[in-house]
Amino acid sequence: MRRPNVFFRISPVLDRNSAQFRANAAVDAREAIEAEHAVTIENPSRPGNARRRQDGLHRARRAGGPLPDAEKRANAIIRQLLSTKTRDPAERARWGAESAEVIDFLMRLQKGETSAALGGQTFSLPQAVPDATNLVTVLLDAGLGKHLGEAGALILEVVATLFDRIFDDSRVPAPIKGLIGRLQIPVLQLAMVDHDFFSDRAHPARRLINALAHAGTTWDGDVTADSPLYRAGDTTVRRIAGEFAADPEVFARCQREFDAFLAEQDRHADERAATLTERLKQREQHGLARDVARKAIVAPLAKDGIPDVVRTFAETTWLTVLTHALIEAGEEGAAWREAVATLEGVVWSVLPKYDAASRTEMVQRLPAWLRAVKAGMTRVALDEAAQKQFFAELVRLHAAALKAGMTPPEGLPRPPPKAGRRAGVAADEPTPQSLELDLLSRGSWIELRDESGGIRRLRLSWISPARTMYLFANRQGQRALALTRNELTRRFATGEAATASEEALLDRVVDAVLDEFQR
Amino acid sequence: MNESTHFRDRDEVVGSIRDFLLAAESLPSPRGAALQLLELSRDPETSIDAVVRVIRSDPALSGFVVRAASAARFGRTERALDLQHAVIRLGMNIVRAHALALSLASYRPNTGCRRFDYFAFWTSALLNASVMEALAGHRGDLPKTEAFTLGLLSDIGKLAFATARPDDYDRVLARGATPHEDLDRAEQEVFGFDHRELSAVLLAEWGIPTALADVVYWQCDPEGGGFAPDSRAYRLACGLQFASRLAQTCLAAQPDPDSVAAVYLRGAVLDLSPDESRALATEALGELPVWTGLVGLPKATITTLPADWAS
Repeated sequence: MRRPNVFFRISPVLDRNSAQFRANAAVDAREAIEAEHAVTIENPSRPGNARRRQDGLHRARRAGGPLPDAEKRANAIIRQLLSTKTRDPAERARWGAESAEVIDFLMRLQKGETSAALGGQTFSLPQAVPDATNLVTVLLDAGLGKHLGEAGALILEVVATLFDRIFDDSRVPAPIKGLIGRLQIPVLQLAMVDHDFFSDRAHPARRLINALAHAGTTWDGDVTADSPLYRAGDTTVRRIAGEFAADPEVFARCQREFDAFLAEQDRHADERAATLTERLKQREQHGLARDVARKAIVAPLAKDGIPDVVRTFAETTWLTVLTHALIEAGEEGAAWREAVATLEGVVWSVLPKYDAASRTEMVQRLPAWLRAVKAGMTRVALDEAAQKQFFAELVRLHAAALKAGMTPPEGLPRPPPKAGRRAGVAADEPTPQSLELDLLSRGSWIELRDESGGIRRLRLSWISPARTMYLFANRQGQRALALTRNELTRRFATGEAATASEEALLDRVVDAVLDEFQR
Repeated sequence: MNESTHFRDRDEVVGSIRDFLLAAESLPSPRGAALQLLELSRDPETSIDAVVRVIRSDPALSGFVVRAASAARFGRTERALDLQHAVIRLGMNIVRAHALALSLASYRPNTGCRRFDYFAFWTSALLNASVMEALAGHRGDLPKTEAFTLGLLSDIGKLAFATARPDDYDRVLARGATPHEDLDRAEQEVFGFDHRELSAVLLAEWGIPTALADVVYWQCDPEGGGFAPDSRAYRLACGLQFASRLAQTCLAAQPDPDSVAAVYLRGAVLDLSPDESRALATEALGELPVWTGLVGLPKATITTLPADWAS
């Protein structure tokens, strides 16, 4: 059985009256406490602090295993913390609500007093340390747990660990960690009085910390004191530090305001990205139409003996004409039908004419086809010289088609079909990457890795109607990136792109920490 | 010549034409000098002097022959030919054909075929002949005099229809004037043959060599005539189609797209670039007033061949 890394730190509190515990734990805990001591004398906010605690725990477990009674009681408290909301005073009293003295003690620290006394012990908070210094750990190491009830001591430990994990998260920029760090005492105080903090993922305090962390991880570029995000977060943190007095509503109000700030940022980013969507829509429409047009020329060009001039014309100029016609009025439109018929006519017109009916039909129908060809060329702005050259070639081919008809068909050399001309377009097979793309929706965040290994997080701002174009914007709305589905699929396949984890930081951390406690 | 032509027995068609000619109360007939020339041509002992005397008796024919002979000269830089040299240069067959055409052009019967425009018919025939002559000059591998004659008489069947069966032909022309109605088909339905088939038989009747009559017969579908691809007959048939469509285009108030396409298409078969086709048209149109003046036709209104055949 794996024991939580913090178990041995809280077990003396839980089992202050348990001789059994002291007897059993003495040897096991020694190594862990020694390891712990090695950590706490260092800067408690130093990254990797929680990991080192865990190492100590593992060594302790190897030394002898947990204490069953203490563990049971700790697990019971954790279950309580994880249970659904309960505001039943009797239930809360069972685990021991912290005294007004404890709350007052925390309040004084929150208001900026550098030291405060509790139970006859004076606790001092270090000054001039980085914002991301784990102050809860400082209090914990100074022995605050001894002055708390069973649940309070456990909460103290859990909150200390939570902030360790937050400060250890390399994705959260340091300035944002600093902002979150300034919430340590209010959060500790809140956790003491409102256990829903642990069980309710929608708790305003959790949502606020999550939002701060998420905004920080998705901020494009360095977060500085001048960044709008930092300024908004700073305002929020100041308000909480100034106004919070055991009332969760302060967190709720601040969380709503901060969410409003983020929503406004998203709206702004979407608005700026929207200036590109019309062009992207057109590009998508053009791409799709071109695919359909490409398929439409396959059958006419499958005939043998079509001169290269006509093939090239069909695959370049007329492909564009078809594409335009399709965009103009769709496959049911007259422009598309006429363009397809014209191509079929032109192809037919250059093939040998073996009978008078064909020759007559050719002369009768040529003008209309040629007019349509000319109109199409003009529509796609093919320059005059190119038009003239094609018509000169075409008339030569028509003359050749008439002359070729004077020789019996059997005698005509038939050029072999060109390789690849008839190759059909294979249907796209779904790949894990394409399936992952299908899960993306507006507002999803992705991570793009550049050549140097740097990661940019971008928010999906728009998906084209046919899901072939994806428009991403950074949080600030200053940069936009449009990727085709194929390109995005490629990047997902190569690892250059990945869906950013949607799991909120605090949810992940709280779950992990409490899970360790439970186990 | 449409598809149905090729599935009809040619001998049967020729037979029908002969019956038509026998039953006709009136036909375009050579008169005066032309008639005398036709009779002279049947006598192998006829001297050039005798032919010249007959031609000289008709001032219009004299001018026509001299002009034709001059036009047939390469480069046109020599001094003017006298009538005797003109006859020698053109040869008896061509002189006879010219006399025939002039004779027919001069005779303007007042028939009941209201829709048949004699002036327009002969103007078209002369432009046709001019184009053929210019084409022969450009290519250098076609006899100019034969080309001119073929152009002049290739549609003579129309005149024959209008003369022999004016009422019926008036109705045919009315049908042919409606959109999507083919004149050849209408003629075949009413008479059993079309004006090109009739032209070919008439030319043979008038002593024009059969090979040339075949060219006239197949001018609407040169590839269907069984000519060798590089033969002179095939080139002449192509040339006739080129010339007739060009004349049709340039004498119409509005160019017909089919005709324009046919001009450029046939031009391509004859190895003419679009620019060369237009140059030939310009050259022939320049000659047209001279010919119409000789025959006494009013000045024609000309429409330029569209430079862009797809327009």
